[in-house]
Amino acid sequence: MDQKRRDFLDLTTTLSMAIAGGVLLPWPALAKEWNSSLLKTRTFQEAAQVLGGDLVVESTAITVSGPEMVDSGYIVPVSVESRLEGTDLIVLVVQKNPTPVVGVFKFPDGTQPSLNTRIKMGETSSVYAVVRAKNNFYVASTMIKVRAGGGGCG
Amino acid sequence: MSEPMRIRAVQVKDLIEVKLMIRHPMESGLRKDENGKKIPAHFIETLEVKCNEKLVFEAYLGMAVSENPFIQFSFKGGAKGDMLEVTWKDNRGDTRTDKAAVS
Repeated sequence: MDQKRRDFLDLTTTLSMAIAGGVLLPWPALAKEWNSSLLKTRTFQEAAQVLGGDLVVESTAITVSGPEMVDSGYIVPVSVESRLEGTDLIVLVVQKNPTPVVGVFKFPDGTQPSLNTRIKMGETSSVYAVVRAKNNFYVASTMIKVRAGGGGCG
Repeated sequence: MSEPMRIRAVQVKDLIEVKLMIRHPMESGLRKDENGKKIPAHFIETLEVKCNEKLVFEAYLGMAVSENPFIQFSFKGGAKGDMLEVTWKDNRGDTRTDKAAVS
């Protein structure tokens, strides 16, 4: 199994753990997007199907970028851009954070499916952007090295 | 009491570029103070941006967004003078709305 594939399977675990752990539940407004049957899904493919999507595909039409290495994980600038037509949702996930899901961003018609923000990272980790476009799910990632974690990075 | 956020909205060709700088501790609830007591979680959960009453951006944030969150995005269909309205709500039920005109 090559490294990419393994990373991707890790994401599967991370996301189903995040979902099972109730990370996504405190947001009532999300109920529509992430309904409770998601709790029972074991793989990200299943999760995507519950969300009304199909397969999760790695895509080169998504750019996730950030610094290669940071001294402190307390403020890490990241940017995500999707060039997939019909993108309406982007989920930012830091694989090794205690709560991996950083945020869910929705893009109504007319809003560019890209954003810049600053996040906390506990340690060196892959940062994933999961993108929903026309009810299909796509994913891309980047690796950011962290010398010192952002205390209580969430 | 919450402090006002800084909202910059500038027209660049057919896009309105928005930069939000929100003042909020975004405390994760995982940190401890010097006495080893847990610092309770305090973070923004939802964020909404409207331009002339129309929703242009929506986010559900977790505690892993940095202190004093910064978010940049852009949208089409706006013009100079349009009124941008940004509202956040945190896990303690506090909420704040600030407005700024597109320049």
